[in-house]
Amino acid sequence: MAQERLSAQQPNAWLLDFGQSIRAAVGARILLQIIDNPKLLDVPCTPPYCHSVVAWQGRLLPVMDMAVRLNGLPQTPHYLLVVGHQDSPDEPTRFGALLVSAAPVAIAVSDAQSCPLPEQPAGWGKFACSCFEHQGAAIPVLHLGRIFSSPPDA
Amino acid sequence: MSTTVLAHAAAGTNAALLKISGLRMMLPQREIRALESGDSIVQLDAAPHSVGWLQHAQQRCPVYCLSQDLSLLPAAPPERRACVLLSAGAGYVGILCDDVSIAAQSQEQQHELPLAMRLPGTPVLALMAMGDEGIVCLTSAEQLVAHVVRLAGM
Repeated sequence: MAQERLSAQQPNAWLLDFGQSIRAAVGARILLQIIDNPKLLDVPCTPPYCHSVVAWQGRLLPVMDMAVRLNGLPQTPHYLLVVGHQDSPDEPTRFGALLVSAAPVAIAVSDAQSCPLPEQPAGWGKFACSCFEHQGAAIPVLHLGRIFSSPPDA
Repeated sequence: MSTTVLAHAAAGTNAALLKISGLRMMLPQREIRALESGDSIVQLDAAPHSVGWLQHAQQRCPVYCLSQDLSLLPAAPPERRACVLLSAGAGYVGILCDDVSIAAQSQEQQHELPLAMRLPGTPVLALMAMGDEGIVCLTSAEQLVAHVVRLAGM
C-alpha cells in the first residue's frame, strides 16, 4: 500500500503543450529526447500537419504538429520531442517527433484521475487512448500508433 | 535545338539528381529520355498550365515548371535552365530544373516515406539523407509525370 502511494506520487507522464490551449500527455518512458531549435527538412506533397522530417540517430523521423492536425492552425513551436512507441509488444519500436510550444512538464498521474475526453478539439477521439483530469482540465493521452502509423486523414 | 540523350545504362545504381529551387529529387537515370536547354523551349501555343513545349522524336512535348513544393508555376524563373524529358504514355513531358546531375543512389541511405506523410498520389516514394546537405526525395519518372498530369488536368 505504501509502495503504491509512493509510486503514484512519482512523475510518470509528460504534459505536452501544443499551443492554442491544446495539451496532451505521454507516458514518462515514451519521451526520448527534447531538441531545441531543430533543423526541419521539408518534404513536398505531404499533409500540412506533417510536412517535414528531422534527422535523428541515422533515421528520418516524421515531424507532427498536433495543433494543425486538431485545430488547423499551426503553433509557434519551440521544441521538438522525439518519441518512441510500439503498436504491439511484438512489433519493433517506432519513432516520431512532436512539435511543442513549451518544454514538457513531468507530472504524476493515477487511474483515479481518469475522465472523458474534452469535446474540443473534436479530433481527440481519434488520437487519444485515454484521458485524465489534471488541475481542472481534461488531458488526453496520445495514441502515438494512430498518430504516426496511420496514413494521412481523408 | 540541341538534345542530349543521357546514357541509358542497364539497370544500375546511377541516378539523376534534379534541383528545383531548394528541392532535390532523384530518379533512375535511365528514366530520363533526354536533357534539353531551357532556352530551347517554345512558348507560343503552350498547352494549358505549361510554360511552353519542345520538339522531341517528332512530337511536341509540353514543358512544365514546378515549384519546390511541387505545385505548378505559371512562368519559369530564370534559374530553371535545364529541362528533362520523361516518358508520358506514347509521348513525353518536359520538367524544368535549375540543375541536373548524375549521382550514385545508395540503398543504405534510403528511408521509407513515413506512413503519416504519404498522401495518395504523392510522387515522393522515399527519402535519402545527405548529411549536412539535407534530404533528397526519391521519385520515378512515372510518378512524377502522373503528378504533373494530375495538376495540369491533362
